[in-house]
Amino acid sequence: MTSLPLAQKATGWFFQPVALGRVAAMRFLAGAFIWVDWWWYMPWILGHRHVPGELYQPLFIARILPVFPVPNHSIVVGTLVVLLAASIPMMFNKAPRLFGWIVAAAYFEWMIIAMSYGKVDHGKFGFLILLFLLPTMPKARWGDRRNLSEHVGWGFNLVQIGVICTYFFAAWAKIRYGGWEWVNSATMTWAIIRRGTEYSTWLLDYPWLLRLSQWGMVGFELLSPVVMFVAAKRLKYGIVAFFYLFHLTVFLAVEISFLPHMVAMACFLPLERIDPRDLIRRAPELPGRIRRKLQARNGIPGPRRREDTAKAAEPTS
Amino acid sequence: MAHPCHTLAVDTQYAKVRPAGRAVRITISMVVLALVTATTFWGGDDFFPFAPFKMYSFSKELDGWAGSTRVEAVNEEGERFSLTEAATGFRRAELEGQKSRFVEDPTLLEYIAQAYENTNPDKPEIVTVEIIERRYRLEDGHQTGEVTEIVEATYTREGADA
Repeated sequence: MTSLPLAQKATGWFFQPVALGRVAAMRFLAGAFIWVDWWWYMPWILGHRHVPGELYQPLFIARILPVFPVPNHSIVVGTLVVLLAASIPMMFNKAPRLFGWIVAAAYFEWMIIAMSYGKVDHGKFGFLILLFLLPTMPKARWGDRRNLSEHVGWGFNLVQIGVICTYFFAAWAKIRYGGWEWVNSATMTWAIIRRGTEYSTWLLDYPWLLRLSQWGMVGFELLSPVVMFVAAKRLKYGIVAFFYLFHLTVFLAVEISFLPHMVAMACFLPLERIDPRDLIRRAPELPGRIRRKLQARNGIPGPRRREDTAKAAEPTS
Repeated sequence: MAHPCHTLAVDTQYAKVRPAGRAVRITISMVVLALVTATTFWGGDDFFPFAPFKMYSFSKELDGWAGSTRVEAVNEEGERFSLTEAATGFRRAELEGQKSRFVEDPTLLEYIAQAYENTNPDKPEIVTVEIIERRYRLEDGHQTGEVTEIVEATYTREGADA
């Protein structure tokens, strides 16, 4: 080890060890999202099986890599079948690396089918990185908090970079395309006219509030990289909770949910603490445990408080 | 450390990345970061999955028109209806993305009619397809209630005059 301490610290940032249990949880979440994606989140992708090839507009990557055929009925349906079939063993930890690679490749093709007809959707960047990094991680058990790995730490660090880039560069894109005046423009008004809900259409009467929300959005997007450098865990989880709340608000206002982005973002959280088997085993005794906890909470601080007040009372009297 | 660390259990493993592996992995992270940065500054949607994340990034004028595009069709029986995403598999946003193509060459609208017929093989065939934009007038960010509609492209199947 001849490298400088500073350089060690900088490289160490990429390799903060993560418990293997988180890998099992993320594999499950990624597979679960894929099962939700095709019929609920983006059902229109399957609709492309009926669209004539003349309306297919190949993306850059499809033009330089001649491995992506012009989608037709059997290619669209076949990709979906492979994707769904491979995602099940990945979710339940059967040969998760092999099936992880199949899922990553099939999902990439699924995205090519989705995005090559004149509209590219964003917000799946972090999820795509997640799918390509999960197969690099070892087989793992739920709830494994003992085995730590720097390999896994690096993978999730890169997924987190992808998630945060989505925010940070979204602000940058607004400045690039919309200019600095974006924050004062009628973009949110336009968004709500197009896809407002009963929770948001009343906002059209208060354009200043919508403008304020645009300032807030750009502010939080530009500040989002902070979460990558926060050491205090509670603060970090608090920031991530704020991100989730932001997406909940956006979903209620204009029904855009960024679900895959939220799935990828889950790797910020200590999911290794979840052990489904343990939870199921302990479920019957859960009411009793809650009662004991409450009793303990009521029992222990009570006498202490009385002691404190008693002690405090003496000198004043 | 403020808290005394628990002594690690004997069966705990800590997998370290070796120096060569570290170099490779840091390079991968930096390449991803470089690509996403470069495409944000100079790239377009074409570079998916690396692309500027430009969801709702355009400034909308507080005074002006907010547009909403749709496709309408007339079938053999003379019925007029909206060609929605569910009816064709082709999305409104995709239509807007390729709108300049359709305006330049309205015969391409035939493929939207084909998509409809592939999706609904039992329904009467389409003879006319139109792209219509509805524009809402905004003043200072408020809707004024003024609305206009413009037909931007029309295609009628040859030989059809239903």
